[in-house]
Amino acid sequence: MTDQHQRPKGETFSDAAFARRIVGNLSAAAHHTDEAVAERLKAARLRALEAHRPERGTLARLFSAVRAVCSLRPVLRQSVAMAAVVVLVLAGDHWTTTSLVLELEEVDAALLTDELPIDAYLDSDFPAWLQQDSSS
Amino acid sequence: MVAARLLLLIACLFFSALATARVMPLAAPVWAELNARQHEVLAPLVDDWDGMEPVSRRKWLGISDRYDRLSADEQARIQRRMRDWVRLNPDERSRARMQYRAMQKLPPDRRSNLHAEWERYQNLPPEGRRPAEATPAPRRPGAALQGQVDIFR
Repeated sequence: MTDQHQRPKGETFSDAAFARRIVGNLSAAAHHTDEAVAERLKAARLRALEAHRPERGTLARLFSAVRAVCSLRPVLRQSVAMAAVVVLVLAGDHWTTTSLVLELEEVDAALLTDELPIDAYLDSDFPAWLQQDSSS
Repeated sequence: MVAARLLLLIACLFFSALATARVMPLAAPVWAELNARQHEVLAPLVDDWDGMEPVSRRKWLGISDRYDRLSADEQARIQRRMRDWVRLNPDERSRARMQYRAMQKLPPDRRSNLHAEWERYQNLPPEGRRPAEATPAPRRPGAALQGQVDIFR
């Protein structure tokens, strides 16, 4: 669709100018219409205005996106808090388990490679005997 | 609107769980998932591996990582003892660890002589191994052991 309109004498003008001209003609003609027709025209104009959506610019789109996010803010906050709790609990569990594994790994590796056999560490009399032997 | 909020909530929980799962493996590998070197080092555990707790399996994987840094004698010892160790019950393993830690606190000269002391202790008749003074019966589990452990502190 073109935005240039031909005037009767061959001149061209833009959509906006053309619209202004139509508005002027309609306004002038409205003075000569009867009340019922004027009312119908008014109602039609209002409906047209309601249906009219001007093309939105980048700023307007950004603003509406921010408004949409703001309307979700309470649920977003709840979700982030819940996710943080889940992550913290799992991270704490992971840290505890890892520490336990490392501790067991160190002690067991040392115990199993030690010169003393496992039985020496299972015999509960041996430490007491050692103490008695050293003090006598 | 309510549906959108619910969807957002579910998405947040899903992604947080997914992120955590990536950081923390939920289970240790089964025997078939170990590599050739781990199979070789942990061979004495083949029959017990899949029935072990994940924590134990991860511990043994850590020990297998240290294995190549051990001396030949230590490697031979750990190979001999692995199976016996996993067949102990949890209380026995716990008691052995506690006694090991306590003995590490002995003075260095006594600690270096422990093997000879153990040999000497084993050659004694059973009545000679017990301390001369009778210790009172423990009132709670582990009380007697705790007393013995304390002597090394």
